[in-house]
Amino acid sequence: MTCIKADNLNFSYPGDVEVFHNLNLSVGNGEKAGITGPNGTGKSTLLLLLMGLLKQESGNISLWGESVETSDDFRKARLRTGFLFQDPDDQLFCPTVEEDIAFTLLNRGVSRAKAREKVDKLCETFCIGHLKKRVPFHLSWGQKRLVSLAGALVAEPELLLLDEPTAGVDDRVIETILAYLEGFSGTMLISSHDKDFLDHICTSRYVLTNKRLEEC
Amino acid sequence: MRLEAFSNGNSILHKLDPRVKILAYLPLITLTALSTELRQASLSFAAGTITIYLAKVYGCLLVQRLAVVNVFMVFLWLTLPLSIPGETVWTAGSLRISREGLALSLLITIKTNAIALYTVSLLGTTTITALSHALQHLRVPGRLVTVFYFFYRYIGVITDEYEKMLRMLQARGFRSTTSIHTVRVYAYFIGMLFVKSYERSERAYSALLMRGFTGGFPLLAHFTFQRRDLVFACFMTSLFLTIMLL
Repeated sequence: MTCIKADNLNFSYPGDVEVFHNLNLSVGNGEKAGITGPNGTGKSTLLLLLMGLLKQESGNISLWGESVETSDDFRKARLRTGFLFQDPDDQLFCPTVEEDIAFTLLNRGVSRAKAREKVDKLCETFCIGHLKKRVPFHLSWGQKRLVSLAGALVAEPELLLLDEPTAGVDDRVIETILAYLEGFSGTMLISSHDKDFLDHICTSRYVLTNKRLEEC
Repeated sequence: MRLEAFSNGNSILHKLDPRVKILAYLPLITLTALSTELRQASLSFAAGTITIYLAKVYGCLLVQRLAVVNVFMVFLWLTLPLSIPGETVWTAGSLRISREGLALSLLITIKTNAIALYTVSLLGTTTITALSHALQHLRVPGRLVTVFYFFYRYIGVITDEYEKMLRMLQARGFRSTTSIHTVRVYAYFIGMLFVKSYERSERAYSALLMRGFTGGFPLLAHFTFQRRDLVFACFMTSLFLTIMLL
């Protein structure tokens, strides 16, 4: 069964800057797909389009076999998806690390006790337990990256969209991320320039070039 | 961060429940602002001084903050005694200084400083984070709290952006002069700062949507009301009633 399907997507930024021209993508359930491509070709834009955070000019997007068109469709799809943004400063919002990781769960009405339990577990997994009471935006880049990844994973998403997860982080953080993602059983779509990382994780690879995706 | 310059400390006021501090602060500053009697304002000022002593935040920074507030008072002292009619206490040519004008200037100065002292000692000893939490607990509408918190959260990011751009200008040999070029560079600078802030706000909003944000500010950690909070609340209530009945 297909998890993500995009047919003939067309998208331009204001000023007629065309980013995609009849772009197609199909990612199966449980597939780990990686997207590479030169800077500015629209890797991040594609991830935002798939979650309805940007609106395509034409074309169709289907998630888990159902067409998503309205904001309500996308809202439901987001409940099943974890999204790691390229810049953790865009994503981190709450006053403390533990609050930030728990944010998604609390928004969904999960009890505080349950949320705390899940936060503790993830903090242990990512070795960030000592940061729980710290202010997220005062952390180092690598620590911010781990906290934002924990925040994306806390609701146990079926689909994970990762935008440059290894950009600007050291080998130790990459190893921590790899260790977790290797055990992730859901579907993943990763945009990255880090070929080694993608080789390690992904079962399929795409390259974004000439406003389209090509499998490689 | 400069916004939280007084928030680190070990005083009794630093340890109090922020909810109690907010609940003590709001009626006191309202009463002080509305008081028309010099003795009420003076008592409030004295109480403000005591809270500063309890908060242990005295020092150069406090003097700096009070100096900023009192710069405005200088303008009051320069205008009010000359413009308020009443009993003349001193005349120089066509200028007449009235007793009522002096009294009003003194009253406003004392009230302003009292409020500044309360603000530093009660709100200043609390982190913005704890204040946001406390406001949420006090049932302030979630959106208002979120806007307040967003302001704090992103003012730092925008300041960082500003400093980064400033360093970039210096590194590229820019020197501020009175030329048109300087004006143009500053215009670009401000424009870029707005554009970057706007784009960051868009990205931050997208991230919030992905995490199920609906305008509220759900909390994981909660405050605990302790005996010292009760003692402080009783003290501040007594102070409030004393000033009101004076």
